[in-house]
Amino acid sequence: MVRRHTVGQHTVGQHTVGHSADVVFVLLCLQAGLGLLGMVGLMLLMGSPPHAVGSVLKAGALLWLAAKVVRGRTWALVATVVVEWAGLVGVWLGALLGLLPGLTPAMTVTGLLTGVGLPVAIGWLCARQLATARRGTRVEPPTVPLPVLVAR
Amino acid sequence: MNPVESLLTGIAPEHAPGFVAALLVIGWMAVTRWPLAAPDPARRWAAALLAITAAVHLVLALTHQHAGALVAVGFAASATGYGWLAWLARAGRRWRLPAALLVVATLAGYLAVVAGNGEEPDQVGLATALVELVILGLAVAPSAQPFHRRPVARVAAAAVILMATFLVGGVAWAAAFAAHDGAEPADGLDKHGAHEHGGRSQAGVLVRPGPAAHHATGQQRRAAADLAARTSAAIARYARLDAAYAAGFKPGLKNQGTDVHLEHPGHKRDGRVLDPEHPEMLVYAIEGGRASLLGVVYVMDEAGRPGPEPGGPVTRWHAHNLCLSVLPPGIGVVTPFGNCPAFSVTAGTAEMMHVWVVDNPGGPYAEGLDAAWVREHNGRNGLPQVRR
Repeated sequence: MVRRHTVGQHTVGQHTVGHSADVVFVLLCLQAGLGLLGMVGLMLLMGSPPHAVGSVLKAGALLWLAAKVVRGRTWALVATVVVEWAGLVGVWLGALLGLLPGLTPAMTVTGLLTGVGLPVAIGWLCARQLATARRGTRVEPPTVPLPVLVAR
Repeated sequence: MNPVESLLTGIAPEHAPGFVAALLVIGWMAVTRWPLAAPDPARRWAAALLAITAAVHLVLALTHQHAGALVAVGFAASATGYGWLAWLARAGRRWRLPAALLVVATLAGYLAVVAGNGEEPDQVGLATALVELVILGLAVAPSAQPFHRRPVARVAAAAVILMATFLVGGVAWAAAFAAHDGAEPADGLDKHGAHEHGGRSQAGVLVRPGPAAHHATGQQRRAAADLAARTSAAIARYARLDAAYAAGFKPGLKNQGTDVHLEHPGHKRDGRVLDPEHPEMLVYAIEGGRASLLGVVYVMDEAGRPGPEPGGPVTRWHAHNLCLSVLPPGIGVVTPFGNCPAFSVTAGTAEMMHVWVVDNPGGPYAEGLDAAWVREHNGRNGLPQVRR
């Protein structure tokens, strides 16, 4: 029996949706870890506990969203898209701030990956999953027989 | 340093072919849609990331022949392993356990090299480590299949990802700081006595590549010594902290420690560059009720404009890419992975150059001072701090 799973109000095949959620879960956990590492960078110079609060809260929220995305909650997908979109706005604000005379936009390969690539990838995966849920259909039929997946 | 310069400067010359190889593989996968043959998104991602890592390692095997046969063979072996695992993931075969083991081995090797001063972490190495962290996450996270929810395994996977990110980032950070703060004399040579290729763009520090790798000429050495002497004479009047305050220098966000920077807002906007009479910042050690003047920081008026280098490779400028926090206001160091914490944005500063006026082991143009040496110096020579 193929057990079906609810994504918000919509019932969709679990095979593809579940695996997309796996990727989102990993990327959100990585993003949480990166945020906590960033908190250390802030604490190194500022050394005051209030500067850790925002990062800890955001990391906690990302991990919570990761858990909920895996369980197929539509609101978690929407919230994740919003969070990632806000992160991208922050990148643009940083670029605008860099136009001030005393500052310059600083670009690195890793900065592009974590500041743009990661949010875009997470947002795109979540948006695609939401679109699938809205259509009430699978993104694509599973190409591996279920017993193989179960046995994995 | 403008954004494009900072992007390119962060890539070590010997790693540039690896970066190009990664871009080529991404382009090839976009055209052929190679990973899409995998049975599910997790395997597609894994196949794509493993293929990228394989390509980078393969090219690094070819470009690291000078580092010895062991390093080259190690890169070639890991490239083969990653390529094989990419094929397994795409084919829907078992790939997770060997991938996790290979990633752990590769990351451990990378950290051992950067921690052992084998090489400074650059953007290609760090980006590859980031990709490997995602592969590790995909390998350890359990599938969300309804019969396989396994919440404990999922929590464990999250913990592994968090800890691995912290460990890799922390070691790379320490290595990058050690490279920047090393108290070696600035003379155009690196710590092994080899010519520096000069540029650097990671973990909060941006350094323009030098004009050409060379020793300082006699004229450049004399110019550097002259600037240091004039700086030392001009700021002697600020030996007492209260004299600096009276002259208009203001403390920044940090007012205790071995590197307290006092800024003069007027000097920052006066259009003068490298003027010992009007330094933009003074650096003090302020600890235990004692303060001692350590040196100055000359800062360019405008970010992105290169500073003059009268001493050639001796008088090198650097900038910082910082995290500017909004809630609460503050400044942080960008992580090795180029990101900032929540509620903060990244921006680069104007170029700056330290000139130390104390008898530190690295001389007047060392990139940084050893904190332990500064504490000892302040304990011996610090003047009583007058409370404001």
